[in-house]
This record gives sequence, structure tokens and C-alpha cells, in this order.
Amino acid sequence: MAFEFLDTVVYEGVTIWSLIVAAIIMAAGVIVARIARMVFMKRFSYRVEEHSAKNIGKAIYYGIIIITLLGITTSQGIDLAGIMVAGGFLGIVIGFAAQSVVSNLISGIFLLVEKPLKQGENIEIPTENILGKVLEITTFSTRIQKFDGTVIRVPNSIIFNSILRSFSLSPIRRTEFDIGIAYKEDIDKAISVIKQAIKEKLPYALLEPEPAVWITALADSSVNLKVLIWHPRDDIGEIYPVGLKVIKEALDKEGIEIPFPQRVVWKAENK
Amino acid sequence: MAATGNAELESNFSAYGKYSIKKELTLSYPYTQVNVKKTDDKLFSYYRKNSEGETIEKILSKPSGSLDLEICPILPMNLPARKTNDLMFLRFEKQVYVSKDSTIDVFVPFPIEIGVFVKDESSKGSSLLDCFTCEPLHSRFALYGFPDNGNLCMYAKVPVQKQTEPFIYAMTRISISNKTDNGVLVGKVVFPVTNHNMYYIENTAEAHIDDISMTIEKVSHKNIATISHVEYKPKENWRMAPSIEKKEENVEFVMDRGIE
Repeated sequence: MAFEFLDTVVYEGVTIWSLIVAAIIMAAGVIVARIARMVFMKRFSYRVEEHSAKNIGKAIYYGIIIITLLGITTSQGIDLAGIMVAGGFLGIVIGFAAQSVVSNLISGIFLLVEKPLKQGENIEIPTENILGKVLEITTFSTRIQKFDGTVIRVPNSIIFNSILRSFSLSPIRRTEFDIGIAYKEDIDKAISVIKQAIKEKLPYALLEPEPAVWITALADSSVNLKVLIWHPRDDIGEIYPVGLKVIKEALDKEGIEIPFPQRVVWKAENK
Repeated sequence: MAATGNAELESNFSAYGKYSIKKELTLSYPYTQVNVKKTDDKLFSYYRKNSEGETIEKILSKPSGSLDLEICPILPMNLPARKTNDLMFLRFEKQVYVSKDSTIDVFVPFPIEIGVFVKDESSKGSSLLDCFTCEPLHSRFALYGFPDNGNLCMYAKVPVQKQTEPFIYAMTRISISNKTDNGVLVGKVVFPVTNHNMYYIENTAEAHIDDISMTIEKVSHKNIATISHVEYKPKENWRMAPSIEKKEENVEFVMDRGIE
């Protein structure tokens, strides 16, 4: 017979024919997995966040692949016990080697479940000195675009174990400026001038809650003021770069002095 | 109090309405100058300057050789930038007292922007070419609520029961019903505005926006107000302004974070 070679045993009851059948089942499994992922992405992904949808899509794909592999081993009579025992020692070795990979994987899963950050959010990881926008959260890492345009890849375990500062959970945020006025100046007038300038010249400054000015110190050369301005959370660029200019111009216009550091020197005289 | 414009101010400025431009048109509004000029057989230039010297210039192509503009009041949602979905926060300059179990109507000037719409040659519709405000201090933001759960809103501080200033305000009526057992002070109203229609009278500066109903009730020892939209019934000579807003169903908004 021409196809007798198909019955040739290649490994403990596994024939060439069973390998061909396994390959066909595997190919079918891959096709089914791709279709299932595609259907999920088209029909259901809009119901969850983008990064979650991508990861659920991956879970569906690899889940079907794993089920297919198990189906192949069962249907083709492949005994996994021997492989498991042999693989046990190998697993321990690989486990130690892949500790960080597994750690990132588990952290990635927890990030998806707990959702401490979302795609598109502006975040800061103070301990890592990272400040930027979340581009993508994948199984092992998160890509963050810093505000200078560069993109950094942060392993998920670092994000999961770090303190996160989110700028996107509240619709507004506050920007603060420190300035000093001369001791001779009327503090109430200076505060009034600053508030009026912010109201007129900074259209992104919220009027409720209104800008606040605190007296923070009676310092060596000046009365120190802290100006606190609430604004829509993504518009720090409309406040921070121009805020001090607006305040200084308003104080200059009203003749309110912003003093240089100064020291009074008493000269001792012999009488 | 009736919704009337200031005739003296009005006479110094151009009016709302439709303009057909063959060669050149210059319009004047408070702190704002608009000039539209034909520069070529099929080209028009659009130029606007505000009180701070900022200018906008645009080029329009009109194969027909004429340009039809409609200048009318629109909702104040676009300046300085579109940041909020639909909420408007009106802070009354003086609080309004409403006795228990009573309803009062207050007329409030409603801040507006002015839209410049270009009539589409291929359809009966029109598209927004430009918008501006004659009172930059009305293009401001505020938060209703607290930083952790508040709503970002467009904001304006408005007088109550006062005449409107032309090109700066439209008029609206707020009907306030107090269904609590005590008198209440109302200092602000927050409501979804995108489903409100704006109306104006051609060749004047008179504008009106749909009205608002505010019902105050006591829930868990706290006064809350339910705000709903009330359609304005314009007279014959009033015309509905085109809008760029996506209309929602009559959405109610519950002011549960303070009304004073």
C-alpha cells in the first residue's frame, strides 16, 4: 500500500498520520481562534475600554489555542504524563529564569482587573520620574508617551507596585504659582489685582471655584503669596506658561513692587 | 419684565440676519469688526478683528460668485474652546428668594456667542464659518460640584430681571417652583443646554432662547432642583437660528450639589 508509511510510529504510539491529523486540527483551531477574536473585536469590544478589549481578544485567541492543543493530545492518544514529569524539572528552571516575565504577566492581569489607569490618561509615576500619557496597556508592559514626545515602555510589575498619580480622574486640576510683593505694598490690593488679572486674561481659569491667593510667608525680602488656579484638567498648557506673566504685568501696571532679595546692613561707628 | 434690547446701543451696530454679498460687506458689533470682500470671481475673503486686536482671516470659494451669510446668536459652548459636553452654569448676581409652595418666573439674560453661517450652495443648509463673542468674560468655565465628582460647565455671572445687552445676551425665562416646606434662596442654575433652540428677529439684536423649569424639592434633608427644558413659543417674526449642536431628547438635570 502506498500510504502504509502513515502508520509509522514516530514516538510512543504517535504515528505520522496522527501528526497530520493534529496539524489539521491545530490549523482549524488557529482559524477558529482568529475568527472568534475578530468577532469579539467587531461586535463587543466597544463595550469595554480599548486596552481591555485588546487583552480580552488575546485571551480569547490563546484560550482557544490552548484548548485545541489539549484536544489534540487527548484525541491522538499522546500521553502527557511523561512530558509533564520531564518538563517538571525544566519548569522549575524556567520558572526561576522567567520570574520577572510571570510577575509582569500577573501584574498586567491585575492592572486589567483593578484598572488603576486607562489608555489616554495622563499619569505620573513619581518614584520612577515618569510623567506622560498612557498609550497602551499590554499583557507584560505599558507604553507611556512623555510630554517631550518620546515613548517609554514600563514593565507592568513596576506600575502595579508603584504610587500612581492620575491627572484624569477629576475634570479639573489646580496650578499654583509663588510670588512675593514688597512689605510696603497693600496686600489686599495686590490680591484683588491678581484675581482680576486671572479673571480677565486667563480664559481657562475656572471662576468657580474661583482663583485663591494665600499669604504663605513673611519672608526676608517679601510677603510671599501663593496663587492657586483651578482649570480644566488637560489645559495646564493654557495656564502654567503664561500665569506668572499675567500676574507680573498686572502688578507692574498697578505699581505693586516685586522686590529683589535685599538685606539691611547696619554700619558700626566709633563714637 | 419683557425681553427688550437697548435701542441706542443697537443702532450703532449691525444686526442679526441674512446678508447676500456681491462685492463687500462690513459689519460692526461690540468690540468686533467683520469684513467680507470679493477678491476674485469665485473667491471671498473673510476678516474679523476683536477688541484685543486679534484677527481671523479665511478664504471662501463660491463658484456662483455671490456669498450668502447668516449672522445669528448661538449657544455659548465654543469659546475659548469646546471643553464641556452640554452643561451651562448661570450664577445669579443676586440670589432669588422663593417662598414655600410657590412658583415664580424670573427673566435672566442668557450669554450668547454670535455665529457666522455660510449658506451651502449644494443644499438648503448652512455651515458655521466662524463664531465670536462680544463679551469675552462670558467665555469661561466653572465646576458644579466638587473636584472628585463635579461637572465642568460653561459659566457666566448674570443679572436677574434686567434688560439684555444686544449681541451679548439673549433672554430666557426661568420658572422656579419651590415644593419644600421652607423658603429657599436660589443663586445658580445648571442645565444641559444643547437641546435649547435660539431664536432671533431679523434686522434687530433681539434674541431669545428656550426657557427653563426648575423644581426644588427636599430629599434627605437636602434641597435639590430638577431642571428641565421648556420650549419657547416664538411670535411670527421670530426666526430659529441654525445650530451646530447635536440635539438630545429632553434631558433633565438634577442639581444635587447645591442651589445657593
